[in-house]
Amino acid sequence: MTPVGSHRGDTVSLDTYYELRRFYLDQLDARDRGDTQVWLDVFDDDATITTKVIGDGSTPVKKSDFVPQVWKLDASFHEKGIQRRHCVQSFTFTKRDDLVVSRFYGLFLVIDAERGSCLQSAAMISDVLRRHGTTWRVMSREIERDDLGRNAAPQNVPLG
Amino acid sequence: MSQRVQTANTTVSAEIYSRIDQFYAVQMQALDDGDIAAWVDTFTEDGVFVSNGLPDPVEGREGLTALGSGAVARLDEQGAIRRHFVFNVIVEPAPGGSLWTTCYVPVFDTIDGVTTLTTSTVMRDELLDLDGRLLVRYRTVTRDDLLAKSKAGSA
Repeated sequence: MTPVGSHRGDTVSLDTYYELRRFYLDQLDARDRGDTQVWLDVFDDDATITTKVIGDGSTPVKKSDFVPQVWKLDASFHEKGIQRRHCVQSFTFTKRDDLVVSRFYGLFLVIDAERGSCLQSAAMISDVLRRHGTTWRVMSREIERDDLGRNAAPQNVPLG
Repeated sequence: MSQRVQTANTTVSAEIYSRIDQFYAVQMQALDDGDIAAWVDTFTEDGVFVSNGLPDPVEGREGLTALGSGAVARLDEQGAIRRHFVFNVIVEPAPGGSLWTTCYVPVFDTIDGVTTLTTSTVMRDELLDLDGRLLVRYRTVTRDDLLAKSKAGSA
């Protein structure tokens, strides 16, 4: 298999590239359909998220702490009748031993009956992923939402 | 790898298509991060950047460095965070082994917590594959807003 990818760092195979692209499409489809549990299941039990949406944007928040907040956030959107669309693009995947570091852009759209379709924000997302059977798991995620300002600490894709 | 990707009237391998996808991701992330040295490093030494938003073509890495650094300085002055999204990538083999690409590149800026579509552009590149590295030899960026004004002005 010929490796593909960027000119920086070790690249992933072509099969892995398309597999990871699908991995992201599936998890965001679940989130936007309101299937919060399916979205949460892509995270390891000890995974962390660093973002100003949940936390201060510099301190990693453990899964046990972000799960209740995610349920609350999703219920809030549902109650208000807001449909979200997480559009993702511009992926890079870099191998680090048995792990993969991904970096990609997101566009967050919100849609409701009153305001119609609105662009909420653009964002940079960076994940550390590990293989889990035939799929993948997120070990850590950093989200820098542009509308909330840059995160306090530079994105450093922690590798544990 | 026998997978092929149908683009325009010809096909390129899935491997080339995915390499180009990631090449643009790396290139735009470098630009949006303000890493102009890394962005310029994605062009050939004699790389050319042409745009209807610029008075003249920009040629060579020195010129590209000035172009990129100027843009970053203006954005910093405004307190803006910019994202170049690359969509609808069409790849065609070109004579001499290079590749022609056509992409839609909407540009989003966030200022004071508000994200807006700053402009819609079409980016056309000639890419070279040198020693396993993709590089832009010639880039043409057409800003749709300026094109529309130009058409309206000439009507």
